[in-house]
Amino acid sequence: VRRLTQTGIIMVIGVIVVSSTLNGLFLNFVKPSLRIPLIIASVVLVALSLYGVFVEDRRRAAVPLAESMHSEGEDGVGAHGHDHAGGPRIGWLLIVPFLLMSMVSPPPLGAYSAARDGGGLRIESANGLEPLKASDGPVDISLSEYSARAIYDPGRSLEGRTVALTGFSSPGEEKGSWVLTRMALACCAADGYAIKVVVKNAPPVPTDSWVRVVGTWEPSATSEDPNKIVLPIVVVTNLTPVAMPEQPYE
Amino acid sequence: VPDQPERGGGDRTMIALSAVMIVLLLLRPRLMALLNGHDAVAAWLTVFVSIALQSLPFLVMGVVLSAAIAVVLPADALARILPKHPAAAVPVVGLSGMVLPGCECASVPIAGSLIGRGIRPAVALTFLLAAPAINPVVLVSTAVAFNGRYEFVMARFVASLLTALAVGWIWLAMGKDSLIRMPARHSRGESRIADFVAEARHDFLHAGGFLVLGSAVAATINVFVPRAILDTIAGSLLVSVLVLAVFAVVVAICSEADAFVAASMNQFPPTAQLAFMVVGPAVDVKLFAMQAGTFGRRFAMRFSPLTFLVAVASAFAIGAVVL
Repeated sequence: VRRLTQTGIIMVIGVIVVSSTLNGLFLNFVKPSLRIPLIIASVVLVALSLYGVFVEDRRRAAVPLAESMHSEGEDGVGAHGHDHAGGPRIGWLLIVPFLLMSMVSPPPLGAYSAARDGGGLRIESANGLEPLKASDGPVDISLSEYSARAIYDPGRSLEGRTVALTGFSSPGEEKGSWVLTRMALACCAADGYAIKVVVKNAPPVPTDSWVRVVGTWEPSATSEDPNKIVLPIVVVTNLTPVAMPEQPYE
Repeated sequence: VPDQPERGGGDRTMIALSAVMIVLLLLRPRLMALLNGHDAVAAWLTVFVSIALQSLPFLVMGVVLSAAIAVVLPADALARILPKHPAAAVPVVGLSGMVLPGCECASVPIAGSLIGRGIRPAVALTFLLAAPAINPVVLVSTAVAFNGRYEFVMARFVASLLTALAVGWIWLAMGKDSLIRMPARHSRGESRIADFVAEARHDFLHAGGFLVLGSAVAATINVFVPRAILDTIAGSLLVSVLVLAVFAVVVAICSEADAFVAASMNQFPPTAQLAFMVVGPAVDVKLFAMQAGTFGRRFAMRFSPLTFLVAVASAFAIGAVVL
C-alpha cells in the first residue's frame, strides 16, 4: 500500500464513520455511548490523512532526486514482503467492514439471532427498580424492565397495570407462535442477546416485524428445572405495527 | 525518475478505489435488497461490522499513543533508566506496560524498536506481552464488560503480568536471541511530526488489517457455530479452559475488546473466561503473523507455543486463587 493510497484508505474510513454517527447508522452495530469516541477517532484519522495530502506531498516535491532515490532503496519494499515506506498490504482489509457498512447498511440483529438465544435476562434481579410511574393509560417500558418486574419483582408492581412494549416478532417455542423480542448489547452486536416476552391473545404477525403491544401482566408458570429459562407473559389487548425505532437495541 | 512509480501507482489505486465506491453507491439499493431472505448473511455482516466499529476508537487511541512514545522518547532514555541486570529489568519493563495503552498489534512494532535501541530481547518480549494485557484501557474495558466484578479485573492483571514476567525470564535463561531477525523502521527520520504520522498510519493499517481478519473469523464463529456446541464443551474445567484458550488464539480479538466477548460466554467457568483474556493478548493467529513478519518465522515458531503454555498455566493458577 503506497503512501497516497494509505492516506486515501484512512480518509475514507474517517468520513464513513463520522457520517454514520450523524445519520444514526452506527446504532445498528454498537451502543449509543460510543458516539463521541467514534467522532474523536474519525477526526484523528482525517487529520492523519490530511497531513499526508498537504504536508508530505509538498515535502516530497521538494526532496532532491538523489536523496529520494536513496531513501526508497533503504526503506522501500522490505525483505519481509511489505512496503514499509507506504504501509502494510494487509491495510487494505481495514476498509472492507466500513465500505460494507456504508454501502450495504446491514440491518440490526433480528429474529435470526434471537432464535439462537434462549431469551433469559443477564441481570437476574429487580433491584433498583422504581415503582411503575402512575398513568391513566398504558405505561411504555422496555422489554428488559418488563421482564425484570415480571419475574423478579416481589412487589408485583405490574399487577393491575396496563403496559406498552415495543419490539419485533421472533419465532416462539411452539410451531407458528411468536414472541415479542428485543436484542440488547453489552458492547457491540458481537455480544448481542435476546430479551423475549411471550404474547397471549395476539394475532399472528410475520417474523421480524416491529410492533407496539399494549397489554397486562400474567404470572409465568414456574419450572422445576433451574436451567429452563422462564419467560414473562403479556396478555395483549391491542397490537399496532410500528416502524423500527432509531435505537434498535436495548 | 524514482518518484514517478510511487505517485503514479498511488494515483491509479486511488482511481480504482473511487471507481469501486461509485459502483457500490450506484448498486446500493440492489445490494441492500440482496440481504432480504438471507438472515444468516445479514447477521454475519452486522457482527463483522460491529467488531470493527467497536474497536476503532480503541485502535486509533492505541496507535496514536504508541507512535507518540516511539517518536518522542529519546533513543537511549530507556537503556539509562532500566536496571543494568536483565533479570531485574524484566519486572520493571513488565510493570511499565501499564502506562502504555495500546492493543497487541501496536506493541509488536514497539518491541521491535526497543530491540533496535539496544534493549535485551527478553526484556523487550516481556514488554510485548505485558503492555497489551495490563494497560489501563484494557483493565477499564474489562471492568465495564464484567459489569463491575472487579475480581475479574484483578485476576486478569495478575495472570497476564505473571505470564509476561515468566516468559521474559525463561527467554533470558534458555531463549536464543539469534532467532530474532532485526526489524526495519517504518519512519524515515524526516521530522518528529512526520515520523509520528508515519508510525501512527502504518500501525493503524497494519493492526487494523489483522483486526479485520480476526473479526471475520469471530463473526463466523458467532453466527454459524451453534451455541449448543459451546454449552456441551462448557462442562469440565480442564477442557473448557483449553477450549477457550484455543478459541482466543483463533478468534484473535483485540485485547481492548476481548473482555466483552469473554463476559458474554458466561456458560463457561470463570477460570476459562480468564484463560481467554490471558491467552488472547499474548498469542493469537494475527500476533503470530505479525511476529513472524517482524522478528522472523523461526522465532515465532518457538515463541508462540512457549507463550501459550505459560499463559494457560498462569490462568489456571490465578483462577484457582482469585475466582
